[in-house]
Amino acid sequence: MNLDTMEDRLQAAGEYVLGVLEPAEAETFERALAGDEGLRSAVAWWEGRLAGLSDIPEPVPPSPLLWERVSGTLGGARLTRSPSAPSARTMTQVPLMRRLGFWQATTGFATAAAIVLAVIALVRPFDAAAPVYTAVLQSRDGAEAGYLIQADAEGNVTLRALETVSIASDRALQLWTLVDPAEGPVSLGLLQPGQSITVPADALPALGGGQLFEISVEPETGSPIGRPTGPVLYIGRTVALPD
Amino acid sequence: MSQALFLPSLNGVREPLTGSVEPLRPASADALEALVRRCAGGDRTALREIYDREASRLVGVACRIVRDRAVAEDVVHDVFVKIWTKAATFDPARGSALAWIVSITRYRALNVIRGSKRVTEIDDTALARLPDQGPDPLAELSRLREGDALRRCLETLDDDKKRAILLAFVDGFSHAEISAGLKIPLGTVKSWIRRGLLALKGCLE
Repeated sequence: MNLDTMEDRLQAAGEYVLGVLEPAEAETFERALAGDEGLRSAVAWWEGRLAGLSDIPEPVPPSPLLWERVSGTLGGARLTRSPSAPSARTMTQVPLMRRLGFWQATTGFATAAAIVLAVIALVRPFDAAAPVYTAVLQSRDGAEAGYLIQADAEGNVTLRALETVSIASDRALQLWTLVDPAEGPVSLGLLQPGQSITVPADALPALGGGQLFEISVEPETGSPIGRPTGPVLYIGRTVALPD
Repeated sequence: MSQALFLPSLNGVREPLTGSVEPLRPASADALEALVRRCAGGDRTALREIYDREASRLVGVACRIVRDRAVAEDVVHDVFVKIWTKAATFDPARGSALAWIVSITRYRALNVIRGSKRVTEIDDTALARLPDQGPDPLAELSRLREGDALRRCLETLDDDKKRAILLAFVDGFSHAEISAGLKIPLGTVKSWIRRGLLALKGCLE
Protein backbone atom coordinates (compact mmCIF):
# COMPACT_ATOMS: atom_id res chain seq x y z
CA MET A 1 0.00 0.00 0.00
CA ASN A 2 1.27 3.39 -0.99
CA LEU A 3 0.89 6.17 1.59
CA ASP A 4 3.43 8.59 0.16
CA THR A 5 1.33 11.39 -1.25
CA MET A 6 -1.59 13.20 0.35
CA GLU A 7 -3.81 11.79 -2.36
CA ASP A 8 -2.70 8.22 -1.57
CA ARG A 9 -3.35 8.77 2.12
CA LEU A 10 -6.80 10.21 1.58
CA GLN A 11 -7.76 7.36 -0.75
CA ALA A 12 -6.38 4.68 1.56
CA ALA A 13 -8.32 6.13 4.50
CA GLY A 14 -11.50 6.15 2.41
CA GLU A 15 -10.94 2.58 1.24
CA TYR A 16 -10.29 1.49 4.81
CA VAL A 17 -13.53 3.07 6.02
CA LEU A 18 -15.48 1.56 3.11
CA GLY A 19 -13.98 -1.81 4.05
CA VAL A 20 -12.82 -2.74 0.55
CA LEU A 21 -9.21 -3.47 1.49
CA GLU A 22 -8.11 -7.09 1.57
CA PRO A 23 -7.29 -8.25 5.11
CA ALA A 24 -3.52 -7.99 4.55
CA GLU A 25 -3.87 -4.43 3.19
CA ALA A 26 -6.15 -3.47 6.07
CA GLU A 27 -3.57 -4.75 8.56
CA THR A 28 -0.83 -2.74 6.88
CA PHE A 29 -3.04 0.32 7.01
CA GLU A 30 -3.89 -0.23 10.69
CA ARG A 31 -0.19 -0.45 11.55
CA ALA A 32 0.39 2.87 9.78
CA LEU A 33 -2.64 4.33 11.55
CA ALA A 34 -1.24 3.62 14.99
CA GLY A 35 1.53 6.19 14.68
CA ASP A 36 -0.01 8.70 12.32
CA GLU A 37 -2.41 11.31 13.69
CA GLY A 38 -3.07 12.78 10.23
CA LEU A 39 -4.17 9.41 8.94
CA ARG A 40 -6.42 8.92 11.97
CA SER A 41 -8.06 12.28 11.28
CA ALA A 42 -8.60 11.25 7.68
CA VAL A 43 -10.30 8.03 8.83
CA ALA A 44 -12.49 9.97 11.29
CA TRP A 45 -13.42 12.41 8.54
CA TRP A 46 -14.60 9.65 6.22
CA GLU A 47 -16.41 7.85 9.04
CA GLY A 48 -18.28 11.05 9.82
CA ARG A 49 -19.15 11.90 6.24
CA LEU A 50 -20.26 8.39 5.24
CA ALA A 51 -22.17 7.47 8.43
CA GLY A 52 -25.35 8.88 6.86
CA LEU A 53 -25.37 5.86 4.55
CA SER A 54 -26.60 3.90 7.56
CA ASP A 55 -30.02 5.35 6.63
CA ILE A 56 -30.05 3.06 3.58
CA PRO A 57 -30.50 -0.42 5.10
CA GLU A 58 -34.04 -1.23 6.19
CA PRO A 59 -34.10 -1.02 10.01
CA VAL A 60 -34.44 -4.47 11.60
CA PRO A 61 -35.99 -4.51 15.08
CA PRO A 62 -33.82 -6.64 17.37
CA SER A 63 -35.32 -9.69 19.03
CA PRO A 64 -36.54 -9.06 22.59
CA LEU A 65 -33.65 -11.21 23.87
CA LEU A 66 -30.90 -9.00 22.52
CA TRP A 67 -31.05 -6.37 25.25
CA GLU A 68 -31.11 -9.09 27.87
CA ARG A 69 -27.97 -10.59 26.38
CA VAL A 70 -26.24 -7.21 26.39
CA SER A 71 -27.22 -6.49 29.94
CA GLY A 72 -26.32 -10.05 30.98
CA THR A 73 -22.84 -9.65 29.55
CA LEU A 74 -22.34 -6.35 31.30
CA GLY A 75 -23.58 -7.69 34.59
CA GLY A 76 -26.80 -6.97 36.35
CA ALA A 77 -28.65 -9.85 34.76
CA ARG A 78 -31.77 -11.18 36.37
CA LEU A 79 -33.40 -14.50 35.88
CA THR A 80 -35.87 -13.18 33.37
CA ARG A 81 -34.63 -15.05 30.34
CA SER A 82 -37.57 -15.53 28.05
CA PRO A 83 -39.03 -19.00 27.79
CA SER A 84 -38.76 -18.61 24.01
CA ALA A 85 -35.12 -19.67 24.04
CA PRO A 86 -35.28 -23.35 24.83
CA SER A 87 -32.34 -24.32 22.64
CA ALA A 88 -29.95 -22.03 24.44
CA ARG A 89 -31.11 -23.35 27.77
CA THR A 90 -30.72 -26.97 26.73
CA MET A 91 -27.21 -26.24 25.54
CA THR A 92 -26.17 -24.71 28.83
CA GLN A 93 -27.10 -27.71 30.89
CA VAL A 94 -24.67 -30.34 29.76
CA PRO A 95 -21.35 -28.54 30.07
CA LEU A 96 -22.40 -26.95 33.30
CA MET A 97 -23.34 -30.23 34.91
CA ARG A 98 -20.08 -31.63 33.68
CA ARG A 99 -18.26 -28.82 35.43
CA LEU A 100 -20.18 -29.44 38.61
CA GLY A 101 -19.11 -33.07 38.53
CA PHE A 102 -15.55 -32.02 37.95
CA TRP A 103 -15.65 -29.63 40.85
CA GLN A 104 -17.11 -32.18 43.22
CA ALA A 105 -14.76 -34.94 42.11
CA THR A 106 -11.48 -33.08 42.09
CA THR A 107 -11.53 -30.65 44.95
CA GLY A 108 -14.15 -31.74 47.36
CA PHE A 109 -16.43 -29.49 49.25
CA ALA A 110 -14.91 -30.11 52.67
CA THR A 111 -11.44 -29.07 51.53
CA ALA A 112 -12.79 -25.94 49.93
CA ALA A 113 -14.73 -25.00 53.00
CA ALA A 114 -11.65 -25.47 55.15
CA ILE A 115 -9.65 -23.12 52.93
CA VAL A 116 -12.49 -20.62 52.91
CA LEU A 117 -12.69 -20.51 56.66
CA ALA A 118 -8.92 -20.19 57.00
CA VAL A 119 -8.90 -17.21 54.66
CA ILE A 120 -11.90 -15.62 56.31
CA ALA A 121 -10.26 -15.82 59.70
CA LEU A 122 -7.62 -13.48 58.32
CA VAL A 123 -9.86 -11.15 56.40
CA ARG A 124 -12.86 -10.77 58.60
CA PRO A 125 -11.59 -8.42 61.28
CA PHE A 126 -10.90 -5.77 58.63
CA ASP A 127 -14.38 -5.72 57.12
CA ALA A 128 -16.94 -3.28 58.36
CA ALA A 129 -19.83 -5.22 56.90
CA ALA A 130 -19.28 -8.76 58.06
CA PRO A 131 -19.71 -11.29 55.31
CA VAL A 132 -22.55 -13.73 55.54
CA TYR A 133 -21.45 -15.98 52.72
CA THR A 134 -18.02 -16.47 51.31
CA ALA A 135 -16.20 -18.55 48.73
CA VAL A 136 -12.71 -19.01 47.40
CA LEU A 137 -12.64 -19.46 43.64
CA GLN A 138 -9.87 -21.90 42.93
CA SER A 139 -8.13 -23.13 39.82
CA ARG A 140 -9.61 -26.35 38.58
CA ASP A 141 -6.78 -28.44 39.96
CA GLY A 142 -7.31 -26.78 43.31
CA ALA A 143 -3.72 -25.57 43.36
CA GLU A 144 -4.35 -21.82 43.21
CA ALA A 145 -6.82 -19.54 44.92
CA GLY A 146 -7.73 -16.84 42.36
CA TYR A 147 -10.54 -14.83 43.90
CA LEU A 148 -12.27 -14.36 47.21
CA ILE A 149 -16.01 -13.78 47.18
CA GLN A 150 -17.79 -12.23 50.12
CA ALA A 151 -21.47 -11.43 50.40
CA ASP A 152 -22.83 -9.13 53.08
CA ALA A 153 -26.17 -9.37 54.82
CA GLU A 154 -27.82 -7.21 52.18
CA GLY A 155 -26.65 -9.56 49.46
CA ASN A 156 -23.99 -7.34 47.89
CA VAL A 157 -21.18 -9.48 46.57
CA THR A 158 -17.57 -8.37 46.55
CA LEU A 159 -15.09 -10.18 44.37
CA ARG A 160 -11.49 -9.66 45.42
CA ALA A 161 -8.59 -10.69 43.17
CA LEU A 162 -6.03 -12.80 45.03
CA GLU A 163 -3.77 -13.07 42.01
CA THR A 164 -3.42 -11.50 38.56
CA VAL A 165 -3.75 -14.02 35.80
CA SER A 166 -2.39 -13.10 32.37
CA ILE A 167 -4.72 -13.33 29.39
CA ALA A 168 -4.49 -12.15 25.76
CA SER A 169 -5.22 -8.45 25.21
CA ASP A 170 -8.38 -9.20 23.22
CA ARG A 171 -9.84 -11.32 26.05
CA ALA A 172 -11.67 -10.50 29.25
CA LEU A 173 -12.61 -12.43 32.36
CA GLN A 174 -16.31 -12.99 32.94
CA LEU A 175 -17.90 -13.78 36.30
CA TRP A 176 -20.83 -16.19 36.37
CA THR A 177 -23.10 -17.65 38.98
CA LEU A 178 -25.48 -20.55 38.86
CA VAL A 179 -28.71 -20.55 40.81
CA ASP A 180 -30.96 -22.75 38.76
CA PRO A 181 -29.26 -25.47 36.70
CA ALA A 182 -32.24 -25.49 34.35
CA GLU A 183 -31.77 -21.78 33.75
CA GLY A 184 -28.02 -21.97 33.25
CA PRO A 185 -25.27 -19.67 34.45
CA VAL A 186 -25.96 -15.93 34.69
CA SER A 187 -23.29 -13.38 33.83
CA LEU A 188 -22.40 -10.96 36.61
CA GLY A 189 -20.09 -8.92 34.45
CA LEU A 190 -16.70 -8.56 32.80
CA LEU A 191 -13.49 -7.86 34.63
CA GLN A 192 -9.83 -7.40 33.89
CA PRO A 193 -7.15 -9.58 35.52
CA GLY A 194 -6.35 -8.37 39.01
CA GLN A 195 -9.51 -6.25 39.18
CA SER A 196 -11.75 -6.45 42.23
CA ILE A 197 -15.44 -5.66 41.72
CA THR A 198 -18.65 -5.35 43.68
CA VAL A 199 -21.89 -6.75 42.33
CA PRO A 200 -24.87 -5.03 43.96
CA ALA A 201 -27.54 -7.25 45.45
CA ASP A 202 -30.14 -6.20 42.91
CA ALA A 203 -27.90 -7.44 40.09
CA LEU A 204 -27.77 -10.96 41.48
CA PRO A 205 -30.45 -13.50 40.60
CA ALA A 206 -30.30 -14.91 44.13
CA LEU A 207 -27.78 -15.65 46.82
CA GLY A 208 -27.37 -18.57 49.16
CA GLY A 209 -25.06 -21.19 50.58
CA GLY A 210 -23.58 -23.71 48.13
CA GLN A 211 -24.09 -21.35 45.18
CA LEU A 212 -21.63 -21.83 42.35
CA PHE A 213 -19.51 -18.95 41.10
CA GLU A 214 -16.95 -19.22 38.34
CA ILE A 215 -14.70 -17.08 36.17
CA SER A 216 -14.09 -17.91 32.53
CA VAL A 217 -11.93 -16.41 29.80
CA GLU A 218 -14.09 -14.80 27.10
CA PRO A 219 -13.77 -12.44 24.13
CA GLU A 220 -13.25 -8.83 25.23
CA THR A 221 -16.93 -8.07 24.66
CA GLY A 222 -18.03 -11.05 26.71
CA SER A 223 -19.33 -14.48 25.83
CA PRO A 224 -21.23 -14.27 22.54
CA ILE A 225 -23.79 -16.86 23.63
CA GLY A 226 -24.67 -15.87 27.20
CA ARG A 227 -22.94 -18.82 28.83
CA PRO A 228 -19.27 -19.57 29.41
CA THR A 229 -17.39 -20.43 26.22
CA GLY A 230 -13.76 -20.10 27.26
CA PRO A 231 -11.78 -22.10 29.78
CA VAL A 232 -13.04 -21.83 33.36
CA LEU A 233 -10.09 -20.47 35.34
CA TYR A 234 -11.55 -20.40 38.83
CA ILE A 235 -14.58 -22.00 40.38
CA GLY A 236 -16.05 -22.33 43.85
CA ARG A 237 -19.19 -22.46 45.97
CA THR A 238 -20.38 -20.19 48.73
CA VAL A 239 -20.53 -21.33 52.31
CA ALA A 240 -22.62 -19.67 55.02
CA LEU A 241 -20.47 -18.28 57.81
CA PRO A 242 -21.43 -18.91 61.40
CA ASP A 243 -22.43 -15.80 63.33
CA MET B 1 -21.25 20.60 17.42
CA SER B 2 -18.28 22.31 15.90
CA GLN B 3 -15.85 20.29 13.88
CA ALA B 4 -12.21 21.20 13.74
CA LEU B 5 -10.73 18.26 11.93
CA PHE B 6 -7.64 18.50 9.85
CA LEU B 7 -7.28 16.43 6.75
CA PRO B 8 -4.42 16.46 4.30
CA SER B 9 -5.74 18.30 1.27
CA LEU B 10 -4.83 17.27 -2.23
CA ASN B 11 -2.30 19.98 -2.82
CA GLY B 12 -0.43 18.98 0.29
CA VAL B 13 -1.50 21.90 2.46
CA ARG B 14 -3.26 21.06 5.70
CA GLU B 15 -6.48 22.95 5.91
CA PRO B 16 -9.25 22.95 8.47
CA LEU B 17 -12.55 21.39 7.55
CA THR B 18 -15.13 23.78 8.80
CA GLY B 19 -18.05 21.43 9.04
CA SER B 20 -19.67 22.47 5.79
CA VAL B 21 -21.69 19.26 5.85
CA GLU B 22 -24.69 19.49 8.09
CA PRO B 23 -24.70 16.88 10.83
CA LEU B 24 -27.14 14.01 10.69
CA ARG B 25 -30.42 14.97 12.30
CA PRO B 26 -28.80 17.82 14.23
CA ALA B 27 -31.09 17.85 17.27
CA SER B 28 -30.76 14.13 17.91
CA ALA B 29 -27.02 14.16 17.22
CA ASP B 30 -26.41 16.21 20.35
CA ALA B 31 -28.76 14.01 22.35
CA LEU B 32 -26.89 10.88 21.26
CA GLU B 33 -23.59 12.44 22.22
CA ALA B 34 -24.96 13.27 25.68
CA LEU B 35 -26.11 9.66 26.07
CA VAL B 36 -22.63 8.34 25.23
CA ARG B 37 -21.18 10.72 27.82
CA ARG B 38 -23.63 9.39 30.41
CA CYS B 39 -22.51 5.84 29.55
CA ALA B 40 -18.94 6.90 30.24
CA GLY B 41 -20.16 8.01 33.67
CA GLY B 42 -21.61 4.57 34.36
CA ASP B 43 -25.28 5.33 33.70
CA ARG B 44 -26.81 2.11 32.39
CA THR B 45 -30.14 3.77 31.56
CA ALA B 46 -28.29 5.87 28.98
CA LEU B 47 -27.09 2.72 27.23
CA ARG B 48 -30.65 1.48 27.18
CA GLU B 49 -31.78 4.77 25.61
CA ILE B 50 -29.16 4.45 22.90
CA TYR B 51 -30.37 0.91 22.37
CA ASP B 52 -34.00 1.99 22.07
CA ARG B 53 -33.08 4.70 19.59
CA GLU B 54 -30.48 3.00 17.43
CA ALA B 55 -30.57 -0.80 17.80
CA SER B 56 -32.92 -1.29 14.81
CA ARG B 57 -30.68 0.83 12.62
CA LEU B 58 -27.59 -1.08 13.74
CA VAL B 59 -29.13 -4.53 13.30
CA GLY B 60 -30.21 -3.35 9.82
CA VAL B 61 -26.70 -2.16 9.00
CA ALA B 62 -25.14 -5.40 10.28
CA CYS B 63 -27.75 -7.56 8.53
CA ARG B 64 -26.88 -6.13 5.12
CA ILE B 65 -23.23 -7.02 5.67
CA VAL B 66 -23.42 -10.42 7.39
CA ARG B 67 -26.64 -11.59 5.63
CA ASP B 68 -27.92 -13.39 8.68
CA ARG B 69 -30.17 -11.94 11.30
CA ALA B 70 -28.86 -14.01 14.21
CA VAL B 71 -25.26 -13.18 13.32
CA ALA B 72 -26.25 -9.51 12.95
CA GLU B 73 -27.65 -9.60 16.49
CA ASP B 74 -24.38 -11.10 17.73
CA VAL B 75 -22.61 -8.17 16.09
CA VAL B 76 -24.94 -5.65 17.71
CA HIS B 77 -24.55 -7.35 21.11
CA ASP B 78 -20.79 -6.78 20.82
CA VAL B 79 -21.40 -3.21 19.65
CA PHE B 80 -23.41 -2.32 22.76
CA VAL B 81 -20.90 -3.94 25.07
CA LYS B 82 -18.24 -1.90 23.31
CA ILE B 83 -20.24 1.34 23.52
CA TRP B 84 -20.48 0.75 27.27
CA THR B 85 -16.87 -0.24 27.88
CA LYS B 86 -15.32 2.29 25.46
CA ALA B 87 -17.65 5.25 26.02
CA ALA B 88 -14.91 7.16 27.83
CA THR B 89 -12.74 6.99 24.69
CA PHE B 90 -15.39 8.64 22.48
CA ASP B 91 -14.09 12.03 21.38
CA PRO B 92 -16.73 14.37 19.92
CA ALA B 93 -13.98 16.44 18.30
CA ARG B 94 -13.29 13.51 16.00
CA GLY B 95 -16.85 12.97 14.84
CA SER B 96 -20.47 12.49 15.82
CA ALA B 97 -21.65 9.83 18.25
CA LEU B 98 -23.71 8.27 15.47
CA ALA B 99 -20.64 8.01 13.23
CA TRP B 100 -18.77 6.39 16.12
CA ILE B 101 -21.51 3.83 16.74
CA VAL B 102 -22.09 3.07 13.05
CA SER B 103 -18.34 2.62 12.55
CA ILE B 104 -18.04 0.18 15.45
CA THR B 105 -20.92 -1.79 13.93
CA ARG B 106 -19.52 -1.88 10.41
CA TYR B 107 -15.97 -2.84 11.44
CA ARG B 108 -17.33 -5.58 13.69
CA ALA B 109 -19.60 -6.92 10.93
CA LEU B 110 -16.78 -6.78 8.37
CA ASN B 111 -14.51 -8.66 10.78
CA VAL B 112 -17.13 -11.35 11.15
CA ILE B 113 -17.50 -11.95 7.40
CA ARG B 114 -13.81 -11.66 6.58
CA GLY B 115 -12.52 -13.42 9.68
CA SER B 116 -8.84 -13.05 10.25
CA LYS B 117 -8.04 -15.04 7.14
CA ARG B 118 -5.86 -13.37 4.58
CA VAL B 119 -7.87 -14.37 1.57
CA THR B 120 -7.30 -12.82 -1.78
CA GLU B 121 -9.34 -15.31 -3.74
CA ILE B 122 -13.08 -15.51 -3.76
CA ASP B 123 -14.21 -18.55 -1.81
CA ASP B 124 -17.61 -20.19 -1.78
CA THR B 125 -18.87 -18.14 1.12
CA ALA B 126 -18.06 -14.93 -0.66
CA LEU B 127 -19.55 -16.23 -3.91
CA ALA B 128 -22.86 -16.73 -2.14
CA ARG B 129 -23.03 -13.01 -1.39
CA LEU B 130 -21.85 -11.49 -4.63
CA PRO B 131 -23.40 -8.20 -5.63
CA ASP B 132 -25.23 -9.44 -8.71
CA GLN B 133 -28.64 -9.59 -7.06
CA GLY B 134 -30.49 -7.74 -4.39
CA PRO B 135 -31.67 -4.17 -4.44
CA ASP B 136 -30.13 -1.75 -6.90
CA PRO B 137 -27.85 0.42 -4.80
CA LEU B 138 -28.55 3.43 -6.99
CA ALA B 139 -32.29 3.29 -6.32
CA GLU B 140 -31.61 3.01 -2.59
CA LEU B 141 -29.90 6.37 -2.57
CA SER B 142 -33.36 7.90 -2.45
CA ARG B 143 -33.58 6.75 1.19
CA LEU B 144 -31.23 9.56 2.11
CA ARG B 145 -32.85 12.85 2.89
CA GLU B 146 -33.52 15.16 -0.03
CA GLY B 147 -30.97 17.94 0.13
CA ASP B 148 -28.57 15.88 2.27
CA ALA B 149 -25.01 16.83 1.30
CA LEU B 150 -23.86 13.23 1.07
CA ARG B 151 -26.74 12.34 -1.22
CA ARG B 152 -26.18 15.41 -3.36
CA CYS B 153 -22.47 14.64 -3.71
CA LEU B 154 -22.99 10.96 -4.43
CA GLU B 155 -25.48 11.91 -7.13
CA THR B 156 -22.79 13.88 -8.94
CA LEU B 157 -20.74 10.67 -9.42
CA ASP B 158 -20.95 8.39 -12.47
CA ASP B 159 -23.28 5.44 -11.85
CA ASP B 160 -20.33 3.02 -11.84
CA LYS B 161 -18.47 4.84 -9.09
CA LYS B 162 -21.63 5.48 -7.11
CA ARG B 163 -22.64 1.81 -7.30
CA ALA B 164 -19.19 0.58 -6.29
CA ILE B 165 -19.03 2.86 -3.25
CA LEU B 166 -22.53 1.93 -2.09
CA LEU B 167 -21.88 -1.81 -2.55
CA ALA B 168 -18.79 -1.42 -0.41
CA PHE B 169 -20.29 0.67 2.40
CA VAL B 170 -23.81 -0.71 2.61
CA ASP B 171 -23.22 -4.35 1.67
CA GLY B 172 -19.66 -4.76 2.87
CA PHE B 173 -18.26 -6.06 -0.43
CA SER B 174 -14.51 -5.95 -0.99
CA HIS B 175 -12.82 -4.83 -4.20
CA ALA B 176 -12.52 -8.47 -5.25
CA GLU B 177 -16.16 -9.25 -4.51
CA ILE B 178 -17.42 -6.25 -6.44
CA SER B 179 -15.15 -7.19 -9.33
CA ALA B 180 -16.40 -10.80 -9.40
CA GLY B 181 -20.04 -9.85 -8.90
CA LEU B 182 -20.20 -7.16 -11.53
CA LYS B 183 -17.76 -9.03 -13.83
CA ILE B 184 -15.54 -5.99 -14.08
CA PRO B 185 -11.72 -6.22 -13.91
CA LEU B 186 -10.35 -5.73 -10.40
CA GLY B 187 -8.19 -2.78 -11.47
CA THR B 188 -11.23 -1.01 -12.88
CA VAL B 189 -13.20 -1.45 -9.65
CA LYS B 190 -10.29 -0.12 -7.58
CA SER B 191 -10.00 2.86 -9.87
CA TRP B 192 -13.77 3.60 -9.70
CA ILE B 193 -13.66 3.60 -5.93
CA ARG B 194 -10.52 5.72 -5.68
CA ARG B 195 -11.74 8.29 -8.16
CA GLY B 196 -15.17 8.23 -6.57
CA LEU B 197 -13.70 8.91 -3.14
CA LEU B 198 -11.61 11.79 -4.50
CA ALA B 199 -14.63 13.36 -6.16
CA LEU B 200 -16.69 12.88 -3.00
CA LYS B 201 -14.04 14.52 -0.88
CA GLY B 202 -13.92 17.51 -3.18
CA CYS B 203 -17.70 17.84 -3.08
CA LEU B 204 -18.13 17.31 0.66
CA GLU B 205 -15.50 19.78 1.79
